[in-house]
Amino acid sequence: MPLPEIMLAVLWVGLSAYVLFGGADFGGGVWDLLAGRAEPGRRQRALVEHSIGPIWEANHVWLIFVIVLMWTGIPPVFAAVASTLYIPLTLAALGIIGRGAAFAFRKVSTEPWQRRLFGATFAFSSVATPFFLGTLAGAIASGRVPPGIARGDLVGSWVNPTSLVAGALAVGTAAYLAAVFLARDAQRGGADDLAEGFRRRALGCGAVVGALSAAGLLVLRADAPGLFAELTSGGALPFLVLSVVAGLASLALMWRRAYLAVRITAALAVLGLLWGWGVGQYPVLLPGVPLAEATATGSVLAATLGALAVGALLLLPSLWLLYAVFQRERR
Amino acid sequence: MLAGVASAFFVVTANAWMQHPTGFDVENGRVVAVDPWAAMFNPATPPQTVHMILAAFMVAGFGMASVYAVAMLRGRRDRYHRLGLLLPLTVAAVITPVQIGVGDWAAHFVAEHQPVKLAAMEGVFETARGVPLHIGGIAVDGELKYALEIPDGLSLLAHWNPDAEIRGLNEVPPADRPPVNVVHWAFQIMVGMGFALLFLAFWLALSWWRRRDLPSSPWFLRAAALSGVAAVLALESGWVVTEVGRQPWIVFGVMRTFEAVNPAPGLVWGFVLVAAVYVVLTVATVYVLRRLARHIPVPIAPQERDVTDYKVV
Repeated sequence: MPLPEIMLAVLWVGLSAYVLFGGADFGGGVWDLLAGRAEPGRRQRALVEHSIGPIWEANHVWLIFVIVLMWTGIPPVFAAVASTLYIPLTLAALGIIGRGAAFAFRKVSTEPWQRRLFGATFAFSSVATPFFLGTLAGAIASGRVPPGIARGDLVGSWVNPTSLVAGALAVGTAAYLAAVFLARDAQRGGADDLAEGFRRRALGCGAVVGALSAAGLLVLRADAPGLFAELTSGGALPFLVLSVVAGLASLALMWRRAYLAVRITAALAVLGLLWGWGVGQYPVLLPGVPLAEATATGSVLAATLGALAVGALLLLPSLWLLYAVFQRERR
Repeated sequence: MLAGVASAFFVVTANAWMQHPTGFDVENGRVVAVDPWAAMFNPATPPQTVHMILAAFMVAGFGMASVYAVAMLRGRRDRYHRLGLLLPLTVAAVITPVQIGVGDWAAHFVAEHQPVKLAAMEGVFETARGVPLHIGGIAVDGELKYALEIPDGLSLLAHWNPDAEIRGLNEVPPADRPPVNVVHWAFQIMVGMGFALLFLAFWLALSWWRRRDLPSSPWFLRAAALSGVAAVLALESGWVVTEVGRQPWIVFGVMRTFEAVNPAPGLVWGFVLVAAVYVVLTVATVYVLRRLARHIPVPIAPQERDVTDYKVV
């Protein structure tokens, strides 16, 4: 495989990790928001906090990874995206900042009004941030980011049918992944009633996300026909099929309370959509800009990928340990 | 610590490249023949990264010492607070003279490669030999007024020769000159703070050598309490020198700052919004930290605290 393709694949692997881990992280905040009034929602919020607390904000390393690979590997694409889409990017950044800060502040505050204020900030930004990140994906997928600096429509590029569906899908996916994840966490913690609650939420949310994906396909047919054709009859079709099959399997497994297995199928369902988009759009990154014209020179790609390989040897075991330590049995 | 030093190194290499861009060619307005290693290890990288990493250690050392100095001024003179003051202060005190030497190295680099920046740092408007070192002063109408002059001082410091030629701001057209007063004063503040911290370091060394103890004067504790602020001020003014001194370039000699700005309208509102959010976060952080400080013993970091030990209303 030539270096530009390797670079793009590595970037997409990083994005996959962010969608899965960061998604579950944001989704925890969504369920925090929907947990209801303080006293009835207390145990649910405690479970969310317990599950994402130890990993607190570590998942954003994947976003940083994706952004850095964009500006080193495909600088013209980064420049076009960052300048045209600066509004949703700024809002997403504020969401990430506010979310991380509010989560930490809530943990250490004792006054009820402070806990409510910080809790509301945390929960609200958990919904808003993935939405804005989703609109970015929609803007790129529907070809609304032209090459060049700030050449696109500053508002219309991310406020359009594809972006809105993608934003909703991002929030739904995050909530779904979190519910799947939390069901198993609650069961392991011995809170079977909480596990049952998240099972119900995962089933409902899974159905909604499935419907949203189907609606998204219809929107794509009208809004981004090229991508739609690739997804439904081109090289990206296998990924779409994988996503649908894994999604249906997830619903069945969740119904049967196979909480561990459903983590894998749920992840596959999400990854199917993400890689379907990537493969469907390849090799065009921006309108009129194929990968070959967007990548940095070979010396830069070689240096970046070499540095990444060395870094991965250090980072991956550490991340594995971090996730593994907090997934061990407790109590 | 290793990862922290490594990050500082990598981040500063990027800035060093903006001061001394290497590792590429420009053909018809396009960047070609990129050599990332030559860009990373450009000539400005060694002095700039070392200067910044030592500055970070100084800020950390004096900053931590400040906290304990304030506590000792409030009467907490136990072993815990004495050690809390002594350990970081010793580290910072040892680094300070080294840093002044490294600063000299960095200044020589600037004298050689960015003479216009040096001219702005020192308020030199006309190219001349045997240029004095200016302390203080204000630049008005192409002239530095009210400055204390040390004859031949700048020529001596920059080139080890009292008769050396120093190139002035007149070497480049007015549009290519940085704002002199900002750069000159930032440089004076950085150097002033550096020598004040050096004085504190000597005070500590002298007392330790004579009596194996901290200086007994309350003025020492007051100075130590201010040292953290001084170190931050020195670090920030150092960055003002290097960044404002590079203007009007963002990549020195290659790209002007205005050419690098996103032309999309409304960006200023994004900036205002981000600034406002950070003001709120700063207030909240200070508030929460103060609350935490009142609860003794200090709770561990939020991400390490188990959820079972808190109560929700």
